[in-house]
Amino acid sequence: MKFKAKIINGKPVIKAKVEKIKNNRGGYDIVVHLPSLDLISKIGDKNGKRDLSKMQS
Amino acid sequence: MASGIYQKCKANLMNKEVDLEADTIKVMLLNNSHAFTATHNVKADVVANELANGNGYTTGGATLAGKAVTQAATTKWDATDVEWTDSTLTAYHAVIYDDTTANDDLICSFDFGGAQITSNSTITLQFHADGIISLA
Repeated sequence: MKFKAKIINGKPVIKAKVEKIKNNRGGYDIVVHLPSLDLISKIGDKNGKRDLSKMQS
Repeated sequence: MASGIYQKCKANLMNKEVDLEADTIKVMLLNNSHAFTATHNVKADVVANELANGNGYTTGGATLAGKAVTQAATTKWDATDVEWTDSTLTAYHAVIYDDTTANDDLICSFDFGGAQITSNSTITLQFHADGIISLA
């Protein structure tokens, strides 16, 4: 499952995706698909593109 | 409203104060008063917004099983998915913390994007194939 981050104030905001599965008791079970979190934040502008000038070798 | 890794976790990794495979790591569910704040350090900073005990949920949360760090071009830390069966609850967030450290240091927080409501049913947290945390 792919997660597309919304860009708010220049930072990606990632939320989970939720799946509701009907169970045999007439209700719903919930599966929350969690995103993988990057240990290193991406450097980006307000459109989420990387600013290579801020990256150092 | 967002998901993220706490600064404390990053510092603990650099200071060799957390072992994501060997430590007892727990995940707890929180209400809509919780907001991810990267500078929060310990469980006490967020516990006021944890779900109440009962109805299929035990305060303190569930212990992660199957924790594993996989070394690769994108190294990842993953664990077995967690579920609360026969629960009646409303959860908005999950927070993962290190139960082995003296003050239960925070690791990361996930935003569910809204209320997730169970009624005598199961809520499952399915971790991503790329791991709970990845490092490229």
